[in-house]
Amino acid sequence: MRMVWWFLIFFLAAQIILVQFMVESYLAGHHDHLPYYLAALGFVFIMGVLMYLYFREVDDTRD
Amino acid sequence: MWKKIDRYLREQALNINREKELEMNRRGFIAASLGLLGVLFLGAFPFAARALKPENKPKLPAVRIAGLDELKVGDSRPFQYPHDNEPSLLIRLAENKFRSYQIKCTHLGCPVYWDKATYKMTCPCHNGFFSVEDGSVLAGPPQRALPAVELDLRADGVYAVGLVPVEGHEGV
Repeated sequence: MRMVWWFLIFFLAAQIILVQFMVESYLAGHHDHLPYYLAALGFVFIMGVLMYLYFREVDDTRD
Repeated sequence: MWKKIDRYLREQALNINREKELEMNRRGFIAASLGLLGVLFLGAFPFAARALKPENKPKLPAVRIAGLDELKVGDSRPFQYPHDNEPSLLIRLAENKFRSYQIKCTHLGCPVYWDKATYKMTCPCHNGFFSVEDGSVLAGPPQRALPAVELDLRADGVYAVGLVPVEGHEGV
């Protein structure tokens, strides 16, 4: 769980940067870029969930 | 009394449950940040939905600029399109080759003119030069191409029917 903490911090940073880029794209009127940002956000979220489940499994096994 | 204090300090310093407590907090924090990741992901859906919405741009009117025989090859004619405050220029390059651009310079808005001798669109204010073929910048301070006016050659003359979208002009 200590390891996953760092991964989660990294994912959070990536997610926040992606949201910033997405808002900039939206305000600049580049609406065709937005689905790609959505896909990237979804990817980071799913990676976060998988990472959490994996480390929880490892943790429970160790206990 | 001293025994009590000693026990309290021992409990604080050597709390064997503290590690467990920290771990629980960490787990809670991780679950919360996962929730935040999910909220950011879900919050992006309305933005992405905007991409699917079709752009409903108002259709520009067709305006007759000149008759086919009114303009000699190499000559130009100024006109306003699509509004009175949008000066544009029609240029005849060959028998059946016309080009038309809005002539507000993309640098600081000076009117660009067609220089037949150098075969370039020229901005006299700061020596900006644009290609007459596609309106792209050839030299000088402007960073963006001139917006092109879409033309339609009909039997009774040349008509302006719309504006050709230029990359980088969307937000302007």
